[in-house]
Amino acid sequence: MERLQAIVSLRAAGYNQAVLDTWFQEPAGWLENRIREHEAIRDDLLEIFNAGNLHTPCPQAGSYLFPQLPPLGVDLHTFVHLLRHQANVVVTPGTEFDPDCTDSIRLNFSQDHTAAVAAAKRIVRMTEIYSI
Amino acid sequence: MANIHNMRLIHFVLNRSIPTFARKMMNYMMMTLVEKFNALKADNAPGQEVRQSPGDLSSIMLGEKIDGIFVDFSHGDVDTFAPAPGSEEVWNAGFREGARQAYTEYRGAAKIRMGLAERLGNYTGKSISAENELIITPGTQGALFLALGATVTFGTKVAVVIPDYFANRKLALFFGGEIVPIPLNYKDSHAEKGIDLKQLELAFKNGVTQRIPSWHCIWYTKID
Repeated sequence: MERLQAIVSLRAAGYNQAVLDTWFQEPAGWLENRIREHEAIRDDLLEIFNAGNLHTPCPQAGSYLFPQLPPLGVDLHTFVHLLRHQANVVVTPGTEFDPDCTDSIRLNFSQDHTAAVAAAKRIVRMTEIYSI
Repeated sequence: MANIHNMRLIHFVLNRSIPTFARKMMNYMMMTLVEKFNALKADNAPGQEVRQSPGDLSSIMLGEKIDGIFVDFSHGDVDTFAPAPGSEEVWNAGFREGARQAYTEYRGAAKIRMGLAERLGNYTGKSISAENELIITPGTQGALFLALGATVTFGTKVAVVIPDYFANRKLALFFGGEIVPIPLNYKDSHAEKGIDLKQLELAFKNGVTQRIPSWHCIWYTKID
């Protein structure tokens, strides 16, 4: 791996390496608090999506949700473009993670809590507008 | 000019002197290179949305615009959740250190690796050699590129969990690997969530030698 790194980037950017000195020695309670904050966002978004007919399983780790969209009158990529254009929300189409996954979107929910909740409601509203 | 001359010479040789099968092989190699990069398309990848030109959406848009604060779910918001406390201070300390920190050995500064190896060992319960078992890379994607580049070559069968971390499939293809998809049962309708271990076992019995992690399972295994 080192030999390959030597012909790709030589090394991880030197000054940035120094930040790893903070890794696994964060202040007491910092990580636990961050997890709690993320779980609160996750739970609110899950409630909004599942109540809005976007079946969304609770992830076992990480800060990602993978909601399944109801049948829509536009294709997935058009809907994702419309979300950005019409509802001010950027999501990633499921096809980036599985070429056959044309009915899901992926969200990283590590966001401002209030803004994320409002955006999730706009996503649900958009599925209602474009549902078949 | 010399390059152009060489290119013409190669073109002449390929078309006049090399046997047909060799020309076919060259054509195949050229095709695979084109196909290779087609498979790497990143138009819809997370973070690339700003480069998209979806055309005139107003003609297909139904209803009015829905107001609200812009949220980009394609990645985490580091303005809301800043890096760990002290990050800026240690970065600045490294900057002040100058060349010694800027031009480390390729696998990363020994001093940083030593501290990190000890803390990672304590966390995982398995001792890690800072000297031989740790390399600092430019991010997760950089690490995956090095790991796959070091273990996958033309024809290597690679088990890729689907759905996966967005570039896993692309990495395996880029290095010439053959993808063997392994379903990730993630929906609530699945009786048991997780990787389909039966299919994974079957894949290894059928010649798979590498497996790439899914975004649900952040680990990487090499089985000889």
